[in-house]
Amino acid sequence: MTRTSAEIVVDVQDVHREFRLGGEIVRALQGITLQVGRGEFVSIMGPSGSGKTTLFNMIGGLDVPTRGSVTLLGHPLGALPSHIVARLRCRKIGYIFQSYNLIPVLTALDNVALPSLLLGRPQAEARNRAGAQLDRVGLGDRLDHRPDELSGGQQQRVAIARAFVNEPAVILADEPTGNLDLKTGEEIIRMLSVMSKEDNVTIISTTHDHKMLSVSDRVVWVVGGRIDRVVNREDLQIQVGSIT
Amino acid sequence: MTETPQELMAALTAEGAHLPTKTLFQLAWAGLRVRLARSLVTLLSVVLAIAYLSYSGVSNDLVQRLAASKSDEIYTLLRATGIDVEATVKGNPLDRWLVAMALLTCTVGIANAMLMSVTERFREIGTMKCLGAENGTVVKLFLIESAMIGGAGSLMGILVGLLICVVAGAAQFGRYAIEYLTLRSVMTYVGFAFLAGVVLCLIGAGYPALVASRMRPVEALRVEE
Repeated sequence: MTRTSAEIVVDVQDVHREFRLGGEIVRALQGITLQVGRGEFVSIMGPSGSGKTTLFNMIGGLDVPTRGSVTLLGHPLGALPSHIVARLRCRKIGYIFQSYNLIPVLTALDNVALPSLLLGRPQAEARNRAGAQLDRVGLGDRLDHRPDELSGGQQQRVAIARAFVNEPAVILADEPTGNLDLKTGEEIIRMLSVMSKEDNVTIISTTHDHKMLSVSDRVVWVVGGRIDRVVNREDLQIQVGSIT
Repeated sequence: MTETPQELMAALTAEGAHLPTKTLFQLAWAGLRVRLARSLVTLLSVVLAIAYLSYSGVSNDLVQRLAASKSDEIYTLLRATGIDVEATVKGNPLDRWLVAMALLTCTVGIANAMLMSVTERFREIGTMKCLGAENGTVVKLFLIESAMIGGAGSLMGILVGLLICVVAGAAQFGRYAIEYLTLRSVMTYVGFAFLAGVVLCLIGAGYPALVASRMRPVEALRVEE
């Protein structure tokens, strides 16, 4: 086993992405290189339209680069057939969305069990795992509630449980606090940070939220489809201090 | 728990991400219940089409059997109802045409309802694909949903069709209607009608299911609520 390759979970090499919008070519990403290690908490910041969501989708194998490569756990995503990418996503990537994206017709327990079922685990085991994760996020007493019976913060906690249920290597969180109030947002961020440390899971999160910076190991600013600057945690404290 | 890329790839090629049938049924059932009004309208169109199909099949069969009875009493009854026995025995083209139209309308109705269901569920499908659902799983989900309407609608349609057939037959031919209906021929028509109902629903759902499964998750997630 090569230890070095196991340590790097996500390897983005010189990724370009061009869209054709009408007659014009929009360069959403213009050569992004980024490596993220196991257990790291990385925040991607940037104004809207900066390309951070595109980058985020590339890492999840939801979009394919025009040029360059994205490697997840040693597998170049562009070279894999789409059903294998789907399985890789199911097994190794957890998703958290800004608007929770729970399946409205399923209970909290069934929502969290879904990725496990997709992995082919037996129903009973999937539900056990789901129950355990919901306990972790403090919703052990809300198993049979449907999403519309839960508050925003609770829905996002269900989504967190769902993201962790398959013991993924990476969790991709797209503006996870974007729809939440200040206090709930803080709770969600703290929960994500604690759970990722416990499970040694890499978290990559796009955000506008400055609260997110305090728990990040690294913050990557993306501007105009390029990495503008990268700030490590130790330097971050001073910076945040100077901002506020 | 770290595995080498080779081990991971072996695991990925070995097993697929398939939802157990029970979960698929649960999702399909929930999908129908959430859109109850539309599901019922679609169901009704299936019921009517299949009722018509099974009614015309069984009642034509009855007339043929009565015509073959060689009983003067029955001939008198047949003549009294004004049924063109000869045409019925040969197969009435107008009847066939009406049955075909009913089935076609029903298929189009199913396709339309399922397409709406796909559009409404863009986000849900996208989320499932993000979680790692394969295209086949999404196709199955929509086919099951449609087959559930098809199955339930066909059963109800058959019941309605048979009921009308028996009541109308009894009114026209009295006890002969029951005497000359054989269980075997009724079962044949009923089986055919059920099969037709389910198959038509699957055909109607085929295109919408394909649309749903081919959708890329990014596009699905871009849809705002």
